[in-house]
Amino acid sequence: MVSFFDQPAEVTRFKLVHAVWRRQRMEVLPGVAPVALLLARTDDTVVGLTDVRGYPNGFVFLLRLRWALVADRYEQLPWPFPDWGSPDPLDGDLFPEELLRFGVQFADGRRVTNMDRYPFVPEDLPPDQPVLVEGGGVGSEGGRLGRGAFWDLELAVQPLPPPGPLAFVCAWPGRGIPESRVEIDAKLILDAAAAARPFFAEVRS
Amino acid sequence: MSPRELAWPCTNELPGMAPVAVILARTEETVVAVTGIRAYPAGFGFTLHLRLRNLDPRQRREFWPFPELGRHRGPEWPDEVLRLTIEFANGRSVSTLDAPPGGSEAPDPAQPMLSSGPGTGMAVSGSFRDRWVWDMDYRVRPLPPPGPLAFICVWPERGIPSSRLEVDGAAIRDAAGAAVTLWSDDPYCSQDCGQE
Repeated sequence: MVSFFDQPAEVTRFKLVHAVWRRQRMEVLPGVAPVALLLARTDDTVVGLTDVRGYPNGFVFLLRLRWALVADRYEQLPWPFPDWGSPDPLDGDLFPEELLRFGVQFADGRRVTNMDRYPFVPEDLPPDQPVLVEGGGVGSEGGRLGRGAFWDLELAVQPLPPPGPLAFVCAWPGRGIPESRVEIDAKLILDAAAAARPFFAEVRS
Repeated sequence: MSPRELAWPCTNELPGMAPVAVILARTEETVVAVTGIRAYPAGFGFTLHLRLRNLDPRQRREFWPFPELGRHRGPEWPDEVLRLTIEFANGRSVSTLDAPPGGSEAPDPAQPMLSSGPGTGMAVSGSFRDRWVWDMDYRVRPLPPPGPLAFICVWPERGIPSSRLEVDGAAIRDAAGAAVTLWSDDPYCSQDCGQE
């Protein structure tokens, strides 16, 4: 029987994904991976990635976006991602060139991108299918960068990748960045995740 | 410039990473931990993680342990305040309790400076056993010399005596060597950015 207050299944999954990260952030000291990547660079745009932290159920990182020039100093800071607060942020339109395409691919071929409308996913999505969400601890921030601007976006991926190459892929047609791919050894993240530990676990009364 | 007004790190730099994730102090109800470290040509940044549990609801509502950002004023600091000190191998140090340098004199560039923020946190009750959670970013300038770099904290109200933890200053300097300056001709970036 359908309840008067039943929510769509995809919204339920959205809440579950965020609940995992909220609890991990409160309860687990992550391990830190020695990773600092320059994913793409043009004369006026940079996509970097740092602050990779491993948790038991996935990993978090900062995607660092830099604009060298913003023509109008009073121009509103451009937001480079689709609106993650909505299951259908583009309202059926094509993914605009002004937005950054970003994704992660595991060694076994599984992948997730910010074009997948994750974490608004079907309730029956296999648990090993990677999910990409915003948030997880450090927080996103943006502002002016001299004549330009910046966004540091904190993103989280569930679950952990398998051993082998882990690829970070981006493309930004509106900023002149073709598809760019940088691979690291997933062991760096797996080692960081193995080093994660509960904040309070070893305390004895 | 005040230690609480550091313009650094400039967003014109992508940092190198010196991986650190350590628990600086821990009791039954309090954890102080450090992760990072983001290394730049002119200094480094880290995240301070505070986890408190079993807080009285009234205490949780008023709780604010950051002396550099709070309503507290020295020189008599309340026990609620967390004292955090960064000490270089050459003996120089800076603390969250330090008063801003006075007058118009330029600060000694070799003297460590400390600045905090941004931070994110939350107070949680109910099934989370009345927790108080905060992650605060800190920035330190300049880079530490080779040798041990010490994080020292004291938190009287939380039952934490002087607790010291050392990391390798040389590893942070090595990571700073991997930092990337994005645009060398940005006139809005000061020398604090580490540009020549």
